[in-house]
Amino acid sequence: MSLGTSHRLPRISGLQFGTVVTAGYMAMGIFYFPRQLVSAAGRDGIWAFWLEGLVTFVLMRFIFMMNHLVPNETLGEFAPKIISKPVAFVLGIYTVTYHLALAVVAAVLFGFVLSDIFLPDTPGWAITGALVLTATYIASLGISSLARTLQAGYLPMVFLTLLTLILAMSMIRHPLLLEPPSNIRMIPILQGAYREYFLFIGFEVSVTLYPFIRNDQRVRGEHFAYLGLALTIFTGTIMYEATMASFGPSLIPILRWPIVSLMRILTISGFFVSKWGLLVVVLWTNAVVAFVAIRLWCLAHDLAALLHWHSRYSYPTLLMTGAVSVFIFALWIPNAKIADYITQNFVVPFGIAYLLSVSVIVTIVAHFRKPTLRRLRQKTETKPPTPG
Amino acid sequence: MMRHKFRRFGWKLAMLCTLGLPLTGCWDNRPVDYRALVFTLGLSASSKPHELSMLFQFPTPPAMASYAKGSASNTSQSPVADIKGHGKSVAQCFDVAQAQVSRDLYLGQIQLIAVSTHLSSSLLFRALDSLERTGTFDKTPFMFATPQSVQSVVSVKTNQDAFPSLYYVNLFSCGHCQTESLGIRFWQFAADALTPGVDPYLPEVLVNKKSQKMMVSQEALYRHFTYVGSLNPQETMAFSLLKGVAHKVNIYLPHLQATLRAIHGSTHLSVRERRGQVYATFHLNLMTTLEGIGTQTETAAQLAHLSKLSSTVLAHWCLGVLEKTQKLDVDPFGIGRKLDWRYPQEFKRFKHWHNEYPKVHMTVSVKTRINKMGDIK
Repeated sequence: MSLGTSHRLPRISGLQFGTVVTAGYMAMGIFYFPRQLVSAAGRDGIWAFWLEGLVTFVLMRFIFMMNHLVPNETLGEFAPKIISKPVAFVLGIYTVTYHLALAVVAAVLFGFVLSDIFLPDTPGWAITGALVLTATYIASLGISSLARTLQAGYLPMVFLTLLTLILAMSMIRHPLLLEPPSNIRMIPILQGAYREYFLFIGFEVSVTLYPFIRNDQRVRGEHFAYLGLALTIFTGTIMYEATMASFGPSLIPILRWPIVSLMRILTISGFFVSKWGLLVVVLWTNAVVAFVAIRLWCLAHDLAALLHWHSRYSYPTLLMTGAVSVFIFALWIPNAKIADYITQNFVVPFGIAYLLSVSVIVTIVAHFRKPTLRRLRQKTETKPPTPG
Repeated sequence: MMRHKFRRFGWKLAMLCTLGLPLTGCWDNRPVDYRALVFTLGLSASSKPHELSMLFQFPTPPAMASYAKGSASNTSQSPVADIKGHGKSVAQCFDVAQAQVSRDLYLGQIQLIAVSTHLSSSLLFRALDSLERTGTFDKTPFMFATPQSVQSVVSVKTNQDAFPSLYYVNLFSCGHCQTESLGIRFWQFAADALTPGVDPYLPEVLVNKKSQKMMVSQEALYRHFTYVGSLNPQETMAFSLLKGVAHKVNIYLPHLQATLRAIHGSTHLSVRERRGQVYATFHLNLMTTLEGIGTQTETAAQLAHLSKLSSTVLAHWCLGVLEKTQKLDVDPFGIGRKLDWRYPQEFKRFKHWHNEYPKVHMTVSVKTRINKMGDIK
């Protein structure tokens, strides 16, 4: 049975889209946060973080503009018809590699955090394996179930994290550090924003996800994605302030997982669980599983578009292929230092290049190929143009 | 269709069963009976040069069982076991200690770290750095310094708590219970030791050899990781006033035969730099309770006089402590740090803050308000 693109039924709501897009980033960089910001920019790190948020907002707008070109098809499906097949093939390979790399890095990082703090004697393959297997199971249920699972698990986790961070304010030793410094130094801020940008890399899941939103919910979906970004920046700001004002700008650069260290020192008397922060770190498993599940889902869909394989066997087969690849590549990374090196030297530059180039190139080429684009839209839309 | 559904169900079942295997936690499953939970770590210099001596103190199984039940332990036996290890690193010390213990020596429950003031800065740095890297170690134990034998200080018997470590943890974690809130956690010490413009300090514990009672009323000052000297109890009171962590400081004014107690309040440090000279001003807003006065009843004029007099005396105490720290060339108040965070360009001009700190112009402004006078009018 062929599942042609024009017959695809949009299945998720605007809120679910916003949740999936938001869950598609943050999880990978949360554990390092705000080390790279503070290492490069010192106390100016908060400006670098806000700059990252602003850049992400602009890039998100670009990506949505690209989604508006052919709203009923994924980038992998409509790109060959606009930017030529060879270029689209290269783009498809890039996209697939990109999703794979992000899933591997997230799985590895979380494996190292768990192994370092909670399960020192458990082998890395067991932790990564459990994580990838859970993510595969969630992704295997389809985007609708994935989105519902995220709504049930992700939003309460974000709320709990926020509550914990507010409680963490009680540990602040240096209230002076809460003030954003007034002597702004542009070069360190740009360096910090660049090095920490892997916090936001991953929001472009919409290039694959957009056609799955219900037609009447697309504009709302975009608004929810922006709202998710605002919530992320707000949470990140509180995280940054709590960490900075507790540890100071000299200790943060030498901590491997500053935010985890902050959560570990948080002891709240009067609760049944005294090490409340550690409980929250464990709950972040949700975020990482969600992140990996989203990557696997995207990976399977983009591979299907790349291989032009549309059957009922394509999604489960490609999903399993992606999961096994993530697991195998994750085993190749021996320690957190190598993961850090890969993140800084490959994931960040290639991720930023992808985000900057794809939407701009596709939108510009589409501008000069308006008749093709119009035909494509008419062919893929069963109804008049969708809003958004 | 049915076959397809069965196949999907089979796949999911297999997936869940496989997931169950790594989630069993077998690898890290250590029943508490197989673990020696180290509550206290002692760091001191070994008799061999450049070697560290570590003390691993953990509760004995009978004492732990009694504590869990809430009953009194057998007083004839020590409730804790002390194991010593020597070596060039924490790992070597640990291995020597582990060889003497039948159970898994576990560092994930450390509550207290006792540091000998005789320990060299390089060994202290190496030990703390290794602990910082230990994943199960959570950076929240309290630290204290002692010039006496670490083992004698951490093993002293107390009838107030089941274990000596609990005594110290209760003492340090309850800030308002103490005269001065002296508790310093591991991460706080590490942050101060690594931050330019501030020096770390630790509460100093002394044990009276005759009475075997602990005394925690002094402060040990460090320059980075080097111990440089201690403040006596009165200096420690002034120090706590300057840091804003005093709770039960008292002062006797012989002129009026008056006692003021529970002196506490807030401190604000302002730092500025002008033409290469750094000025630091401490503003202390203190509140106190009148405990007694020679005339038994007080007048408003007497209270005003007492406030002024006590402010002057406390300001002198504080200036004395500041002078002492300048002589020792340690900045536990973070004057340099404040200058760095407020005026980073100006701070950068000073190549070595430790050369600059003794030259800082200090001002202390104390305002004491007697806000409680008890039931005698």
